[in-house]
Amino acid sequence: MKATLKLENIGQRIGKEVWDFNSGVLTEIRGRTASGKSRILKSCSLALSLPFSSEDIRNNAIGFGIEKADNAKCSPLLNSNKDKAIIELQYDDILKIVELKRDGTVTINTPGNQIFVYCSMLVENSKIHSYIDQGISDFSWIVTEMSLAKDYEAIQEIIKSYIDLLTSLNVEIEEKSVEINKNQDVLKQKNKVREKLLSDIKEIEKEIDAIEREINPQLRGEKQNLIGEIAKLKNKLNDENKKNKDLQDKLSKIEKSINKNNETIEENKKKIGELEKKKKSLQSININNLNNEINKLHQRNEVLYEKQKDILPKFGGLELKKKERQDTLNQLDKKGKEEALCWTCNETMISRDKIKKQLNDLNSEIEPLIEERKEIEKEIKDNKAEIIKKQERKKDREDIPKLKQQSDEIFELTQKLQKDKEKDISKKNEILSEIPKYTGAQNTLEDLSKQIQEKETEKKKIEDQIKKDEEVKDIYDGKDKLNKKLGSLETEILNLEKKISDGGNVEFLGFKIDISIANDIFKDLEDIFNSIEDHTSKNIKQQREGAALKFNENVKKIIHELNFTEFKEISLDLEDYNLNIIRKDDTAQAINSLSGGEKVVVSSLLQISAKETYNPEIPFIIGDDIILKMDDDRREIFYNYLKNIAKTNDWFVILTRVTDEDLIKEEI
Amino acid sequence: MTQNEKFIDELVDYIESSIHKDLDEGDFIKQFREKIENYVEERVK
Repeated sequence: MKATLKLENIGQRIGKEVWDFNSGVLTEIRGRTASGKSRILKSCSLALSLPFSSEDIRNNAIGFGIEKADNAKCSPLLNSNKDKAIIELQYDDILKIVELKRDGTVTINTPGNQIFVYCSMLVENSKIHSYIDQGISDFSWIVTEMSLAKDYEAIQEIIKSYIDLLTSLNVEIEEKSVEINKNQDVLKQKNKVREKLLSDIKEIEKEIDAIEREINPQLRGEKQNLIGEIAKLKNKLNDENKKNKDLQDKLSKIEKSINKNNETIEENKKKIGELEKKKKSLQSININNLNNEINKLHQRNEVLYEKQKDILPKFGGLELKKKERQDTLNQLDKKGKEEALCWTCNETMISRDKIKKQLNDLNSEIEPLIEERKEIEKEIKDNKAEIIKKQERKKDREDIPKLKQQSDEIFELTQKLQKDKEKDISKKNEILSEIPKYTGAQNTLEDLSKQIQEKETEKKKIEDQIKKDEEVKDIYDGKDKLNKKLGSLETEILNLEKKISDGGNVEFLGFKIDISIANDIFKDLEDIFNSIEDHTSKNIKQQREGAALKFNENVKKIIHELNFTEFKEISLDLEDYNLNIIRKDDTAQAINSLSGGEKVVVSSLLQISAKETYNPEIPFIIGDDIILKMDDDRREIFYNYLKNIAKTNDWFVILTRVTDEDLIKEEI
Repeated sequence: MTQNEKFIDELVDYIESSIHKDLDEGDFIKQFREKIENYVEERVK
């Protein structure tokens, strides 16, 4: 497999550069300090691991310059004199393009895998390395971040927030219940007082009646008749009002249902329309044409690969000749000479000018080849991208039956809603037909009220006549006072009843629920959420354990393959996920008591285990100067191990090393 | 199976499929809430 990394304006370099890598081998990028080795690895990492979603990962990424610092205006990878940098990484059929801008924005064409940063970057400030270096043994984060445990934890947080909400609502229900009970006691008392007042008023009325019989029986008789008529009229009025209210309530409910159905029907029609549109577009895909086009592109790429094969030896040969001449010129400059011994025959002398001329001639030959190579590579890349697009388009066509099913389901549902709506409309029409019967007799309500008013007035006139007698007047005044008291008391009772009724609700997710039923609903919901919480807890434990077991297996395998006899065991505890290190003499080793060299070895070994356990799908391991800190023996063992991983897994293993050379890449 | 047990199963199925389909957190929270709302609406009816 081949990987091509194209950089533009990255780090100290302005302009474009291309780095090719082969899988199955260990590649070393060597050069002096600050020659630009690390930015190559970091660019590769960025392309493979964006976007970061966890603050923790971000902070680590900032540590090795992957992401901008919070107050920086640009990424450290963006050249300080440019407004934009581009990273393009292609391997297999995968193409990653990252754009870094001066305003700090970072965009990528397809998301990467953020776990890559934890597992595949063997760098000094990787999270694993920091933990070992600081002697922290708590590695619970690794089994959470690298497994589905973190997803279950996120869901558990959501469930807990619902449980907390229900707990606080239960407190609210309790408080409201206490308040309602208190109010109901007060209401009971007030009703008792009301009963007493009514009874007192009744007594006074008896007294008045007796006096009226004595003083003016005729007026008394007229008054009694009026009282009877008024009572009858009031009953009739109450009945008509109640009937009207019931009808209005029913009408309002049905109209609400009709409106809701209308909304859903419209939404469904829209959804069906969109599905049909999508279906039509997929149906227009011609599979045969696509297959032909894909084949043609493959064939074209075959031709281009052959062309590349032809160019490479030519190019290699010319480059070698160029290097020989350039090296000779450099030597001449160093020694201040004008002639050099021929590097092939070792006999004749060649002048500096002749060498320069030969170099120029070679450059003229090489440049067109470089251009041709670039064009071929671009065409191959474009063709590959086009093939991928066409293959995806072919796959899309397989979605047609699914779309049809979705559309049919929505259509069926819409039909049902339509039928329900028709039923509701028919009910509504029935009610509307009743209301005019009533409102047509709306005048009846007004008439009744008017009649009651007139008779009350008549009754009052009669009472005024009767009251002209002083003795009677006092008793009537007494009754008026009691009636006034009764009036205020009844207002208080009404207000209290309203308070009890209004205070008897709690609000949950936009629903107003009567507290008499809220208790049961919330209790059931709590049981439901507790069950879900148990389920997520169980899965978190399983995920972490599974992740730890796999990790430990790989660590054991690597220790054995690296032949690290000084350590008997390095593993995560399956209860608390602390890292335990046991030396060969069975003694436990505290992490912070490891030597500097041992810390580098242990953290690298853990990182490779993490890579093989949790992130094997990305075929890259990157190491920045890390091997430098190991002693010679261990370095050689590690190199061989990494070479073996590269070969066995067909991975790209790319390391940097500080040397006294210009920036160079070599396969080991 | 009681109504509540059915609902627990429904929520568990939804959680499992969301995790394995790598559903966006915002979408999950919204759809989860809709399920709870539907449950409450049925109970309040």
